[in-house]
This record gives sequence, structure tokens and C-alpha cells, in this order.
Amino acid sequence: MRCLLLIFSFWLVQLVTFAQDCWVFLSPKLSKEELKTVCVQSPIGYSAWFHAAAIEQWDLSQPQPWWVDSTWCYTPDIIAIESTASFPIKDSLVETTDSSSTIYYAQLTMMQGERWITEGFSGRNVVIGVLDAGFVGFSNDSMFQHIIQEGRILDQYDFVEKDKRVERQSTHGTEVMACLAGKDRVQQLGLAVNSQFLLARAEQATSSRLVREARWVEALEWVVSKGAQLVTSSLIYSNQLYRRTQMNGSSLISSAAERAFLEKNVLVLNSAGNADQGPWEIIGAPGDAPHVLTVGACESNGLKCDFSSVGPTHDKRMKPNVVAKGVVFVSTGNNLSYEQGTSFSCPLVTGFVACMKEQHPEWTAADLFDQVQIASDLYPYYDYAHGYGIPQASYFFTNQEEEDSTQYEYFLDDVSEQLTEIRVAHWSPILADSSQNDELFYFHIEGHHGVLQEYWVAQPDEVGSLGMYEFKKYAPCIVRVSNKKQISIWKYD
Amino acid sequence: MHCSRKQQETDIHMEIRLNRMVLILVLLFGSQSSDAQNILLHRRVPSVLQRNEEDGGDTSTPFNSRTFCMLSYLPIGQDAIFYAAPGASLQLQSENRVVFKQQRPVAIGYNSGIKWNMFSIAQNVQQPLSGGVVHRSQTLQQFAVPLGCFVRFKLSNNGGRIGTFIDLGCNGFWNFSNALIVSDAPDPSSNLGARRINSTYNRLTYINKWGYEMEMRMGKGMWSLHVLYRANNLFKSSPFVNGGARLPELSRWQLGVNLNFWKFKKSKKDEDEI
Repeated sequence: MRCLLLIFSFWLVQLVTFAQDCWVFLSPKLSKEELKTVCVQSPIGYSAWFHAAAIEQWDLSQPQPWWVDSTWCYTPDIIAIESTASFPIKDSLVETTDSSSTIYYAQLTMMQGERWITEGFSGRNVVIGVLDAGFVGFSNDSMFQHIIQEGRILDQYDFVEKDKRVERQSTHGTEVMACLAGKDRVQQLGLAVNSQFLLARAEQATSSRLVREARWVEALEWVVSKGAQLVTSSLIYSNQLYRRTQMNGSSLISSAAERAFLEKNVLVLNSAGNADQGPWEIIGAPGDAPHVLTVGACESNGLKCDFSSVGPTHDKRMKPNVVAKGVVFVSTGNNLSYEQGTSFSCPLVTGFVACMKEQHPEWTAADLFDQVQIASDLYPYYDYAHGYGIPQASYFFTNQEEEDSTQYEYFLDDVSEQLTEIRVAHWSPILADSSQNDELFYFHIEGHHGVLQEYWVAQPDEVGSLGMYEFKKYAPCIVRVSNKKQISIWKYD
Repeated sequence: MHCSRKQQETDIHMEIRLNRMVLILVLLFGSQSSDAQNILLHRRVPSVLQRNEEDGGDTSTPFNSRTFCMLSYLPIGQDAIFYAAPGASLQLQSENRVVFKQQRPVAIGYNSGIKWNMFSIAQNVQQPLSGGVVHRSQTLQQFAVPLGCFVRFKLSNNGGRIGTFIDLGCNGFWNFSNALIVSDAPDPSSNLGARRINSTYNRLTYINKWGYEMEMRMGKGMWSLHVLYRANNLFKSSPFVNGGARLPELSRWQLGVNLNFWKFKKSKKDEDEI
């Protein structure tokens, strides 16, 4: 009995101390096929880009065999799928802007999406990979018949069940597709209605961290190998998978997304996450990767939705990159519902980028990444809640030099004082009472390290004041104020 | 004249006070009007980054140290005559638990602390510690230093946070102080002049100084329920008690609740500077 206890204890200590779920990076001398002959444990996933195998309970106590280059173990688990909530449909949010009486909702008009449509851009000849948790109801939904009948689903694969059936488990992917390319005779929900699609089911909800990572990376590699030019993912790997300190783009999925951008010329768009109201609060992976276009969610007035995760990343880079409407109409099996989540902001922007790609086929992923941010309404202003703001289609159809942006001036009151007032000069109470009443003013303080210290969004009072602020304690710093039309900058020394 | 000058001074003071009040009111309403703008969003970035560090500090360190307070007692499985009274017996324990690599599904840890046991012995003439007398109360009090180790099975995959867990462990402890406190109400007709007489007996020869116990905890985050099973005998035979025979055992089982009341936090300087 004692011997058994000792053996059990020894095994337990071994288990606790040395065995871990690992990405095992293989020697270049070993091929994927040869791995089966040399490795006793069967890998649960494989990444061709990293030439790495995902192996559970890999023993790190023993000297590593010749075919192991290095191992990458890191902690915990889980992918959080965007939770959604249904709301009653509000008529006031419906906007009709087309002579052919197609309805475009605010989710498109906020990005001036109708401009893309009237100019004839709809993501034609652009291949988009969609990574999600499941596409239940996709093939029967009237919103997608134009895609199915024209054979624009190039391929589909379920990386969980290892077959070609993706319509299982969840309707989340169907809702995402609605915001990307949903259209019927009456209404249009997304912009990329003429794109081609690769559907990948990449989420295994009840599995370990390693399995989930492996599925996502495999799916990304698959859609890229099939010719995707854009990849949209509304899967957020956050609080139970990583620590906040790991949100610096170093996780394997973030590295894979970065690799897609740098080596494969593929732009990955990922939603920011819905964690701002919870303990996690910040943007999850792979949204933390430097060249993943991370999309947050905003309300109809442009203000960040309270649930949309915020930046910066742990290494203090700006995130999210842009925002789009986060309370949207989606289609779930022929039913139109009103739901919320950054999951839906991301495909809206993906449709926008698909139109950009159609307009400029020569643009690389880097060009698309830059231009969509430049085209956003706050650019070059930014903050960690809205990024550069909401992309605007008119940017791609107007001569930028002709634009007259000088409409307001701002001044800071008596910079020598501890408390400083921001005031909108020439503020008219008449204007304030009428059309300009809802105008938002964005302002922030940037510290001398180039990182924001604080940021606000406010509406002025009746005399044009945006309030008294204690800027001086941050000196030397830069204060920026923007109303989406003009930016004023003050330096405090 | 004297009176009117005094009146004038009083009036001046009143006026000054009134002016001050007006000034305060102006300042008060003035400051309110300057805050009349509508702040829709305000965020301090250092606090976001600070939370990164706190969260990371809690989980990226090789161990996680927390202090817990435990309250327990469930007197079951006792002798019919000599037993600890339910409701009046309890254990209070404060211990620090260190969990190594808590983020793993199976982790190990150790705990150390101090505990106080109080067994209120039920009174009857037959019970062996009574000496044939029914006392007002008899309380066996122990101070002990426990030291133990445990294996933690995490039921939720939530990284470095405590999450939902089951701990299986064993503790050894040293009873460094044992006392039997006997309380009596003296005969009112006696001339002692007291309503209660407490007698404390220390250095009890019939108590085991060393002991060990098995423990199972099941909890979530900062609180848990635990079950303790004392594996050795509380009493040993003594020539002075019970005719040299070992006393019957008190309850070996204890059921209780654990609550974390202190967390060691890393101090952070220059909160506003990032």
C-alpha cells in the first residue's frame, strides 16, 4: 500500500512539475509525415507555417529528442465567443437611401457604405476567409442565396470534426456572414455581397487551450492556402486563455496572424472583444498582434459601446484600430434580429476593406491596413476606445486636398494654471441648441513616452466649455482635441 | 456711544460673514456650472495598464500566496457519553496557502498557520472528565500549529486565477497549548462571594501533542468549503484520568468554511506615469 502511495505521489509530482501542453517546434530535418514515426504521442494539431505540433502533456523533464527544435508552453485556456443579446427592432434605426428601395441600415451608412454600393463596389474578385464557431442555418437563409447560387463558397471545412460540414454547433458564423455579405431583395446587411468565401469552423468550445489554438491556426493556414486575401475572425481568445500581460502579440495565434500579414500578404481582421464591462476589459488575441486590424464596436452616435474591449496592448500599442457599429441587424435562419457585439463590427469592416480591395486590386495587405485607418473619421486623432474611428467610404472618392475641414477652433484657457479649461471658440448657443447639439468632442493627453495618459469624449455645455481639466500634472505632454473635422494640438512643457 | 460702536463692529463682522457665505455659494455654483458639460467617456490609461500588472503579477509568479480564515465544526461520530456539544464547539484557523503554478489543471501547494480548537464537553455524571460532578461547563481548548501540503485539481480552465477547485491534502500539527477550563457556579450559601468559578488545567497529560489530519476543500475563488478528518487520536492514556484508560474520541470530522481575507498586493509607484 505504501509503495503504491509512493508511486502515485511520484507520478503526481511528475505530472504537476514536468508535463505540459506544448507547441513542439520540429527540426527542419523532420517532415510532418515522419513525425508519426518518431513521436509516441499523437499531436492534436499541426502548424505548417511554424512547423510545430500541438502535443498534450509533453514531458519536459527528459532531454528533448533530436527532432525537437524548441518547445513553447504557456498557461491556460479558452476562447470566448462573443455573446449576443437580442433586442426589439427599432424603426428609427432603419435608413432607406437607395432609389431601388433597398434598405441599408445604420450599420452600413455609418461607414458611408451606400457610397460603395452606388459606385458599384461590392467586394468582387476578393476571397475572404471566415473563421468562426459554426454556420448553422447558412445554406437555407435567404440572405445568402445570392452567394450559394453563384457558387461563391469556394470551400468549407470543419476543423473540429475534420469534415466539410460547417453548419453545426452555432449560428454565430451565420450572423457574422450576414454582416459581411447578407443581402436579399429588400435589404442589404453587409458590403462584400459579391466576394468569394472560404468558411472554416475553428472553435472547439469545450476543449483545452492547446486544442483551440491548434484549430484556429490550422483554419487560418487553410484559408490562406486556399487563396484568401482577407480573413475575418470573430473569435476572441481572452481571459481564460491568457493573462493580460500576454496581450502583447506574443501568443501563437497572434504570431500566426502576424505571419499571414507579413509573409502571405493577407490581412486578418479580428473583433476586439466584448470584455470592457467585465474583469478582463482589454483586447484579446489575436487582436493584440501589431498588424491585425482590430475592430471595436460603437453606438449610432460614434461613441464606443460600453462592452467593446479597449486598448492599449500590454506593450502599449494602439488598439483597437477602427470601430464600426456594434448593435446591428443580423440574419439567423431567415429571421432578422437586432444583436450586439464586436463580432459583428468586424465583418462590417471586412466588407468595407473588400470594397477597397476591389477598387485597388494592386494594394497589398499593408496598404489596406494603412488606408482603412487613414479613411477613418477621427484620423489622425486616435484613442484606445475608438482607434482611428469609423472608416468612411467618401475618402476613396474625393480629392483630399479639396476638403475644407476648418470649421471650429478650440482653445485652452490659461495654461499656467493647474486647472485648465477646454473651450470651443466661437461656440454658438443657437447651433448648440440645434443641429450641432449631438456633436462629440474627443480629447486626450499624450505623455512624453507617446502613450495616452487619459482620454475623454464630451459634449460642450451652453457656453462651449468642455470642462476643466488638470493637464499640467502630466507635463511635458501633448493635448489633442478633435471633433472629427479638425484637430488642435497643444504642447505642455 | 460705546454700545453703538460695538454694534457697528458686530454689523461689520456680520457683513464679512455674509460676504464669505455669498463667496462660498458663488464658488460652489460656479464650479458646478463649469462641470455642466456632458462627459460621455473618460478613461485613465495607467489604471488599465496597472490592472495588467496586477493580474499578471498574480498569475505569472511561480506561486500564489493567500491567507485564509477557516471556521469549522461538525461533531459527528462521537461517544454517546463523552462528546463535544454541537453548536458550542468550533475551530478557528488562519492559514497561508501557497500554490505552485496554479494555472495548471493539477497543482501542488502547502499551507501553514495557526488554529484554535474549542471542544465544549457535554456534561453528565458519567463522563470520565467530570469527576462525578456536573459542572456548569467544561471546555477543552487547544492552540496548534498546522503544516500541510495539498494537491489542487482545477475544475475550471481559467489560467492563473483561483477558479473552481478541489484540494486534497494532509496536515500535521503540533498542539503547543492544551487547557481544560472548568466553570462552576458555587453554592449561593457559600461565603465565596462569586457567581462563577473558572478553573484552568494546563499541561494535560492525556492529550496527544502531535496529530495529523486529512483535508478536502472544494471552492471557487476566495471561498471554499472544507471537510477535515483527524486521522490520529486526540487523547492518549494517562494514569491520572479515566483509570489509566484512554478517553473516548471526540468527533474526528469537521465541516467548515474558508474565506480569504487578505491578499498580498504588489505596490505600484508612479501610477500616473506609464
